[in-house]
Amino acid sequence: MAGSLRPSEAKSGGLLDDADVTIKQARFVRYDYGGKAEKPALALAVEMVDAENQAHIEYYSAGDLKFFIPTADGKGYDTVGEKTVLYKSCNTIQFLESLVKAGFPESKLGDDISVIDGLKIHVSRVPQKKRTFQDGRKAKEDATILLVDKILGEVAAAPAAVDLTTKAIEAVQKALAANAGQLPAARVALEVFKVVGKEPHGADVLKAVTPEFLSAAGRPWLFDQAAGLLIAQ
Amino acid sequence: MQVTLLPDDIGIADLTVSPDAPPRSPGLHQSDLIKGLLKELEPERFGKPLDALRIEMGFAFERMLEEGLKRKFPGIFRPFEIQVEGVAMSPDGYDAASNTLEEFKATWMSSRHGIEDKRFWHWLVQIKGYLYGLTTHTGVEHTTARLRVFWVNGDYKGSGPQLASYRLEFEPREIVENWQMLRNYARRKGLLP
Repeated sequence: MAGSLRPSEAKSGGLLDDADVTIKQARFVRYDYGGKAEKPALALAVEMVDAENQAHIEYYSAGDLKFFIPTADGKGYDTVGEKTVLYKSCNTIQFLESLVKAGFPESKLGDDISVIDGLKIHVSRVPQKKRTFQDGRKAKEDATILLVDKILGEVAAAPAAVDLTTKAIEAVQKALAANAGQLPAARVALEVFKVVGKEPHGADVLKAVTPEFLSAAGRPWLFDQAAGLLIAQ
Repeated sequence: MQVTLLPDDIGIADLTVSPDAPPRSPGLHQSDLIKGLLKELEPERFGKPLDALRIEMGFAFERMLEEGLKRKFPGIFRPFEIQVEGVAMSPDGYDAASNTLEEFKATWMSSRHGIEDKRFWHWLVQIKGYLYGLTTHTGVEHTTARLRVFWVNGDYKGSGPQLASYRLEFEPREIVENWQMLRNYARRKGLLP
């Protein structure tokens, strides 16, 4: 069968290009480009979801880990060497510049990249600027970079904040009910894990169940610290 | 009869089993560490690109088994992604009734060598990593796992496909040492501070 030459009938390849996407999450990470890089570097990982609900993670190089490391929550980076800001030519800055050029207020870009979570954008792959790395290597001739060329929608209003305290109280109550109304303190986290283990905010709920949380006043249980026992009331 | 090979109108993307799994967060995952380690240790076997169709078959098996187990044993669930010391991990399942990790595998390798064979060393590294994660997360020692394996071609000696479950019990020391190995690898590669 003769193959079609019509661009409209062509199927997209593996690389994301010319697409409307929603930024699900953008975070700084240590990344070694799937083992291709000699050593890992700081990169901005932007998880984008396309119109067919397929997720793509685009990694934008940001700098050397000698100078910059991701913060614990990945929402920013800390400087640990003599360099204090990212190079203008790095892919992360190119991505952010394209975002600002497309209309995203630069003033919103402080030190927390999560401000772009939820943003709806159009992205296109463009030839990478000719550049030479700090160590003298030159960028590949045919390299491309995925940049923002249009902002389609503002960041959706954040969903109502999950009340972790309420959820944690409910989880502990369920755990107590499943254990005849009392639990050794050392087993509370495990039993709460069993209650919330498959819930979307399960990890956060579990984290909220600290000794301070358990012993706070007004809880619907007694925390006998001497006996190390939690007893339902 | 006439047989015509049809043009490709179905590809890997169409086979993808819609995962019911928690979203995979960006950043360092235990699977990245194990893959990197394997590439170093056995570049001949693990340095090549993986067969995408087999990967999809593996996912399909995991999802089917997950659903089947949930129906049969309501206490089994797929837990949220666990973060341990900067490393994310996503166990296949957890049996709340017996505090046991559930792990599912589909493989075209032969069943006749048994899972203690060095060919399956990386499965055990992964499982011990998960047990370390569960222990750290819950504050209660987890040393037991159930491994369910679909041996697609069985023992290659006429058995046909086989489905087998194995109970694995580890010494706490084995679990800690395994984690130290993964952590050391990550540090050596600069993936963890």
